[in-house]
Amino acid sequence: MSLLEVSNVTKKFGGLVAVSDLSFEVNPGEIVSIIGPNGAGKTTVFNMITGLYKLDGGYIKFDGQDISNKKPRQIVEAGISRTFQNIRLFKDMRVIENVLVGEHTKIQYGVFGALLNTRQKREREKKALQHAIDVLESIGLGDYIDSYATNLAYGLQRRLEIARAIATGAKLLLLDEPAAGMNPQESEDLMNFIFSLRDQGYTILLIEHDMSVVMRISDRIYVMDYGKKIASGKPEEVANNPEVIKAYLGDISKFTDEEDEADA
Amino acid sequence: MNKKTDRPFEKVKNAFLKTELALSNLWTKFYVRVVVVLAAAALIFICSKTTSLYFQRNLIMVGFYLLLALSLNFIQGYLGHCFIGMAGFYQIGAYATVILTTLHSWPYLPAVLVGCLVTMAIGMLFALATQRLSGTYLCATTLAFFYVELNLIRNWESLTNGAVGIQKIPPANFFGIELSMKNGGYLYVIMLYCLIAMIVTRLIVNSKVGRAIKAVRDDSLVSTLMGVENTKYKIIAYAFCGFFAGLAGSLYGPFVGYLKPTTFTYDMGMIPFVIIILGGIATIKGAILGAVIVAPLAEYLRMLTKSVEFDWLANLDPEQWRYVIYGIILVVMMRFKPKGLLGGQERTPFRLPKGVGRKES
Ligand SMILES: Nc1ncnc2c1ncn2[C@@H]1O[C@H](COP(=O)(O)OP(=O)(O)O)[C@@H](O)[C@H]1O
Ligand SMILES: [Mg+2]
Repeated sequence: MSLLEVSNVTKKFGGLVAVSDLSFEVNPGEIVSIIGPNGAGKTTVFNMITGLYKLDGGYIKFDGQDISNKKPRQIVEAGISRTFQNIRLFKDMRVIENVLVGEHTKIQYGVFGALLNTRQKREREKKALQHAIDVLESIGLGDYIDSYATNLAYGLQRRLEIARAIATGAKLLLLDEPAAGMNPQESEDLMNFIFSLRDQGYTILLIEHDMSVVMRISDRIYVMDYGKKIASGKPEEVANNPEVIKAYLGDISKFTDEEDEADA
Repeated sequence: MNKKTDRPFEKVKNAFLKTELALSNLWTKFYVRVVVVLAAAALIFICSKTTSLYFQRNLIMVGFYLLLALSLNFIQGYLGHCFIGMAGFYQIGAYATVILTTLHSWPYLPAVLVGCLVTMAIGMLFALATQRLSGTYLCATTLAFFYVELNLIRNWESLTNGAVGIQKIPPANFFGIELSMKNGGYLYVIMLYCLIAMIVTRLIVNSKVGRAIKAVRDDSLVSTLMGVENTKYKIIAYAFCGFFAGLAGSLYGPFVGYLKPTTFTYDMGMIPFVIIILGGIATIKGAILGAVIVAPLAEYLRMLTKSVEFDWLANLDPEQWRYVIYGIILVVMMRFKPKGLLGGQERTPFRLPKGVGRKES
């Protein structure tokens, strides 16, 4: 059974149909990519999955459960978390605090526990802290626990976003253009890092512009254009699909140099 | 920018940063804290016994404004909302307590509790009502809140005595001891309140609750996606702010002995604002530094105008001059250190409890 099932979803903004009758699925342990030109509706799909946008049609199932139009909190708790096209960290908080916010729904105490500094609170806080440190260490940020998020180098900020997503306990990670703004070496590192995430048991749904990354990393690819799915399949199938070549891969040279500065 | 003119400034800045780091490092040691707290307590005790009542009064006012600054920090510092209606919470706390003790002859402490809870509840309602506002609109609404509240107090005569105000407020009775300036009671109690506010701030900020509040401040969309219930944590921040502002108000009534709607002015609410902008936003040490510098400003000015004997200075009321200085402080801080003297990123390591840390590598 597929882990994520997106079925005939539609999203309209006034007259604009940003996503139109789109269906796709992600199986456990897969790395699946969504590609397509700017404005194709990729980020909108992520926003629908994570509960930021209401669906105008269709449904989304995760782990067999219908999560359409659920609140973001319920969706995180179900096990989906994401990163953003433009890095969005808690800038004035430390690296470890960023990760701890990711653990928010898993830390079980409230205002009174905090005020009374109960034993239970201290125990749970300890556990959360240790988990945050372990996550940071596994991701290569062990040396930056004390730093403030805003002081990290660009590539490390991307990692921290992923660390925060992992800390939520998510099984499925949605990465929105993680290689954007990276040089080839950084992209290479990122790719290996994503493979290592998969090896740790995470399932990954990826939006990516960098074709060299996409073609090598993905188990399967969905191609979107004007809100519609125009092709899908294994990387080599997609690369040889005449529809795709016509719509978009024909321009691959131009496309890979394109700087993307769209929305989050 | 001109490098030459910046150099002396850089030197001062570096020296300041070095000192701050050295002190912060000292402060991380437990025995240093114990010594500092004991020394502060001893100093307060000595002041209450040896100094003039005039000086003691100034110290007490520092205490009041420190408490207000600490409470404002929950909203302005940790939640990141611009809040310029502090005088409103202060007044509600004061009136709620004094109405009970003076007009309904309640004993003091239960009235304090009710006063704090009423202010807290109003803070929470305000947060709930403004949950969809942000930025300039929210800031303007906090000011409107003060004026609405002020006019309610002024016109709700059956409850508040209206413009006449409430006279002959009995002195605060703290567990059987009547507070006065003579026995130093007001000084001790306001300092105790400040200490409680600091401890609560620390407990909250270093917990899941404080992190959620700061996350809402830094990026409210992402905090939502991390499962933080933004509205809930906004309300919690306002609740703490309201509670401690109410606590300050509950002591202020008996301290001054009478309350009128005009006792609380918009400017009074600006003082805590200036305190945390100057001292350091979202820090306790910043609130302390700011309160010590800003709260007695009118008194420094009075001393200055007396000693230098500039006619043109002496003819101006120091009360008026200090607002000019508040303005200058705000502008200068915005230009050079928007997070305040002691605000911004801490350079001491994140404190981890025992038994938590990196695995050996
Ligand atoms: N909140 C919104 N309001 C109005 N239009 C939007 C909104 N979000 C996205 N869009 C529009 O939907 C289309 C798809 O956007 P997006 O999903 O960001 O594309 P991609 O991520 O593929 O570049 C674009 O035309 C964009 O302008
Ligand atoms: Mg996008």
